[in-house]
Amino acid sequence: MTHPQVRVDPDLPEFLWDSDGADAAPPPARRPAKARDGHIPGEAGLWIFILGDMTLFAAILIAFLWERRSDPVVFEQSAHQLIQPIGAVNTLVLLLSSYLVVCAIFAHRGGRYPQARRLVAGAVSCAAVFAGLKAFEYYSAISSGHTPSGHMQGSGTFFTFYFVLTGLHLLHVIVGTALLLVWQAMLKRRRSWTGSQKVAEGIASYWHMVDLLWVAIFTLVYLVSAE
Amino acid sequence: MNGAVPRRVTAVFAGLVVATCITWWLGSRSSLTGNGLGLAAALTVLIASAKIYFIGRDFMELRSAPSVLRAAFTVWVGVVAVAAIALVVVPTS
Repeated sequence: MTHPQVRVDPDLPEFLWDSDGADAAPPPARRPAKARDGHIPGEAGLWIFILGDMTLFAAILIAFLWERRSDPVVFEQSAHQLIQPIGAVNTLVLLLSSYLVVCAIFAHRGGRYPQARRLVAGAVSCAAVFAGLKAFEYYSAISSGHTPSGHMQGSGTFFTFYFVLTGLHLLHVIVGTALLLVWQAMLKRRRSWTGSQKVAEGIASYWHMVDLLWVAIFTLVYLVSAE
Repeated sequence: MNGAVPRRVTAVFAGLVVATCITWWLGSRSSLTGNGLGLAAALTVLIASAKIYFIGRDFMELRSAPSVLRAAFTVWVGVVAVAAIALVVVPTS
């Protein structure tokens, strides 16, 4: 006895399988769908925003370096007018805040709400220190006659870039701080990890982006330009 | 998952702090760049790029993210690093 031939293509819907008769042999199990190869922290859509935001900053930084090539001496003199230790301390402060946020994510995952709240509060304190030092830096730069419109002869372009880059970044710090406070409110209400994973991971990812953007700004505006 | 922070993350944080101190030191040693090649500047950019890569991989947890997302982030870091080093090192004509 011969069985009717059934041509099976697991990638096609069943009605497209080529069968010669109703008593055809039962089809083999369908090939399992290709397993997803990882976990996206937060919502997938957030990553389009994060990568887009990073690209915007990258474009401004590349334009800054391009302008620097036309007058490296003025850029060097201008960069020396920045308070480099404040930039360095702010880098360390944001790195610490990022580490605290990572610890808070793990504490939240483990259901340790009071610890997670303390860690998020620590990150918010770091943000306040960053903003305070940045305000002092702005005060110092503006007192010396440097403004965002760059009226000061020669160093104008450098300080226009400086105010645009650090101003946009400070705006991100403020938004990030507000998001951290939202997360802290969720922790206060003891929202479970299952119910708040996407939001918590999204806020953490945004905060880490704020940190890494500052690493790039500090390196190129404060350090490389002064060399 | 018990929610404990992996030792690797703490080690990365310590490494980032050390790398920041190194780049700060390099940045304050202008004499090192006196050869006109901007060697210290290129090294500073390279170290900063590595810092950004590790922030993404271990803090943002891209280490366990889908390969497309990991690749997009790595390409961003690579392209920005190469462009920045080229603009710093290649002399103007």
